[in-house]
Amino acid sequence: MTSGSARRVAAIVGVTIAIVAAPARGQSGLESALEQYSGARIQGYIQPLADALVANLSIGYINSASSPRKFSFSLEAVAMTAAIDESLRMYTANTPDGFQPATHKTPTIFGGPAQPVQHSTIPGLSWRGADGLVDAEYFPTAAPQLRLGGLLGTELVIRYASSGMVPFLEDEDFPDLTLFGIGVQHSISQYIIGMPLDISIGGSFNSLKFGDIVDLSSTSFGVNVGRSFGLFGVSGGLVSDGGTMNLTYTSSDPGAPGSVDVDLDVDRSLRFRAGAALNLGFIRFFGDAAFGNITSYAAGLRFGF
Amino acid sequence: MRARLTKTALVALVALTGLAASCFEITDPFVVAVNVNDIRNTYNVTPGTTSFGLGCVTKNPGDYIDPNFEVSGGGQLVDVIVEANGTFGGNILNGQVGIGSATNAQIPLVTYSGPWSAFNAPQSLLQDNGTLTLNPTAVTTMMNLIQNRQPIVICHGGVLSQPAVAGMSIDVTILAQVNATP
Repeated sequence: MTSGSARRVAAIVGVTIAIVAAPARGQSGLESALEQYSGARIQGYIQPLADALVANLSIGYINSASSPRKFSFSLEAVAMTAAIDESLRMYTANTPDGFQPATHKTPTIFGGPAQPVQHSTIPGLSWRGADGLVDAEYFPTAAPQLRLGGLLGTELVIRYASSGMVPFLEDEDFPDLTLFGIGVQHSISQYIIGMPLDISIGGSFNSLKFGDIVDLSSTSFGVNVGRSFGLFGVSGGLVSDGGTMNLTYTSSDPGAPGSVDVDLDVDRSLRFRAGAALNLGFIRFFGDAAFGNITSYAAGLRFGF
Repeated sequence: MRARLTKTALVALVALTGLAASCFEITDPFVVAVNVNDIRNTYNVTPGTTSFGLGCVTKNPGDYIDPNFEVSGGGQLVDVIVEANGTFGGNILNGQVGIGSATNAQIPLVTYSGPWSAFNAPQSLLQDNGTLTLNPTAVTTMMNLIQNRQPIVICHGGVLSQPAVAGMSIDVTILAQVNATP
């Protein structure tokens, strides 16, 4: 092994060790908030988190619309972030049965501080939802990825992350995070002689868990068209993504206390994606964005050959 | 050329990462309205008497709020529910649920009256059918006790229109929320 190759392997191993180390975690703010809601009441509070996570996890897999013909191997660090607009910050919640007003506007998990609502005819009675846990314009996610290419025009990407790899998620706010994802991209243009553009199809499956209370799975598939210009590459396409978030916890809501096991659907949506890459040999920088009901962005750094 | 591009791209990547991190903040303080469901007691009525109570129970902070929470800004009274158990042909007169820091420092929280049989089905403030009346001043007292993590003494009593019979009791449930940070 040459000294250059040794340095490259050492760099990849070092990055891997740095991002796999994870500290122990305890009770979180997210769990404390969820437990106050019954299965029927929780959707409005937590649904925006499911939507943002699916929007994040379905991107960041595509570096280029072409899939290499020869074997390739790389390690990547990718960060995704979803824009949190006003529609994701507040929702109309039901107050307890018999309470007047029967509904009120209160924050989602992204909504900031909550205000109590007073009973309209009985002074002294009031009700309050939980504060939004996250006060952010963007909700980020990050993960390292292993990419293998040159498999009959197919690239395979494996993504894994745990709590310690995502420094902005503190243990007092979110339970233990485990993220696994796998993506596949297959070149279509390889079958079309003389095709001036790179065309590929791709798909991904992602699984994200927060402790043993949140279990989100999502899938995406799409088509990409792109081209390289020297060191630069651009691509665009359509991506369809959707998923399900399962919540399992024990509710203390007096209206329906006890075990909650509920699935929240993230409706499948079609988004336009665009990406660019700067290929500098061993290092590649790439960016990705998907525009639709939620806009999400990804940026990453790839080490490999 | 390539080195310059690498540096530029690295700077851009770090800047983007910093921008994303700076836009992400956890709400501080993060306040959860914790449901308090354990302020509940059954008061037995002695057969042959024309009054019930004064029965008192003490709820310590450990009974109504997890010690891992830090109380922040009081709370909300959500409902009070009164349910009579047993068969009785008379009426309840001047039923009262009092609250305070001690037995001798009680403020009426809820007063109620009506046929015993009407209370065989749980009667609550939220039903708002006129059987229960809330004293807002006592709500403030109760929330101050919760905010200060003091014991809450709940006393219950009243008068019956005729002597009680065997098997009579009254359940009183107070539903509240405590604003707390995990």
